[in-house]
Amino acid sequence: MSRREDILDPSRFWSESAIKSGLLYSDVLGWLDMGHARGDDIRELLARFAAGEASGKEYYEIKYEQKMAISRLNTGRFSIWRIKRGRSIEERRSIILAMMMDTAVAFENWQAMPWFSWFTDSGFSSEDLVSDLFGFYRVNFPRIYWRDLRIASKESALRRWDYYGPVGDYKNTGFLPLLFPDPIDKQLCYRAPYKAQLPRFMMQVTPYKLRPGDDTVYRTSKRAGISVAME
Amino acid sequence: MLILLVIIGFVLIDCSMQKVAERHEGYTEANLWAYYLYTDSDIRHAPRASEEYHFTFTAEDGTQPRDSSIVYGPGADITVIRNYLTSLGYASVKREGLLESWQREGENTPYFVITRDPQTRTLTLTRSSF
Repeated sequence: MSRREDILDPSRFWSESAIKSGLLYSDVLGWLDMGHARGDDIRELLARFAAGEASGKEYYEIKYEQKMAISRLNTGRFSIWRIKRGRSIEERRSIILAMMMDTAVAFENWQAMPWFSWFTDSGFSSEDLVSDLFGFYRVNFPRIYWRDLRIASKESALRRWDYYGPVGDYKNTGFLPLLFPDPIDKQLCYRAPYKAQLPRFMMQVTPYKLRPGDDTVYRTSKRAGISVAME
Repeated sequence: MLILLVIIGFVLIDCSMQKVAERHEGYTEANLWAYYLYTDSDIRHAPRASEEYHFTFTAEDGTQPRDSSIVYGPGADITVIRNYLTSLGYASVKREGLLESWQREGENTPYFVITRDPQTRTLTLTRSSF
C-alpha cells in the first residue's frame, strides 16, 4: 500500500539501483513502487531453475507464490509448474514471466477481495503489476534504466498525487502502464489517467504460452492455489 | 466464547499495531507490541550503534519482501553494524553509492541492506525476507 510520504526525491539518486523502496513517477511506466520492483522473487526463481536443471532429473517442479501478511495471517496465491529439463535461458525467462504474470494477477485479485479491503486498498493498485514487471526486467537484463524511465521530479509526482488522489484509488488489472498527466500541463484539455503501451525494453520477453498436450511445461493445476498460514 | 472474544480482540489490536509499525516515522522500543511482534529478531538484536534509534516495518506484499529495519541517528558507527552482520554469517556482496547489500553464500533471501542518508545523517539496517 503506497502513501504520499513514500514519494521519493529522484534528484537525490543517480540510478534506480540504489533504491530499495519508495514511490516514483515515471513518464513511461506511471507510478512505480520500488519495493515491488526489486525483483527478489525473480532472482529466487532463476536460482530454482538453475538447481532444477542441475538436478539430473527428467522433470523438476517450481513453485511460485505471492503472499501478504495481515496480523499473524499469511495468505496468498501460488502455482506449481512441472518443467522438463533442458530449458534454455531464453525459455526459462519466458516461463518465469508467465508464472509471475499469472500468479500476480491471481494474488491482486485475492487482495482485492471484500474481506481484505477493510485492511488494504492495495489489490490491483495501479502501480503494482507494472512494478512487478519492471522487477522482472531489471533482474533478467541488468543495466541502468534510469534514463529510459524518465522519472518525474518530486514536485511533479506530488502534484499528481494531490490532483488525482492516492495511487491505490486507481485500479489496473493489466500490465500496461497507467499514466497520469501532469495537472499543470496547459496543453491538456482532458486531465485523466490513461493506459499507455509498454516501452520496448519491457517487451523483450514473451510469456510462455501453455498448450494442452505440451509435455515440456505444464501446470499441476489449472487455477492458482490459495495459501493460508499463521505465523 | 471468552476465548473467541480474546482472539478477536488480539487480532484487532494486532492489525492496528501493524498499521502503527508501518507508519513512515516508525516506532521505538517503548511500543512493546510492535517491538516484539513486528520486529525481526535479528534487527531486535542488532547493536545500538547510536544513541538515538527507531524501527520501521513493511509487511510482505506480493513481490515486495517483508522489511524490518533499525534506523540509527547521527553518529552511528558502521563498523559495529558490519561486524554484527559478519557474526551472523553474512558477507558484503555489493556496494553502490550509499547502499551496501549483505547476503549469505548461496542464498538470495534473507538479506540485509545498510543505507546511508546524508540528508538526515541516518543509517538504516534492513533485513528483508519472504
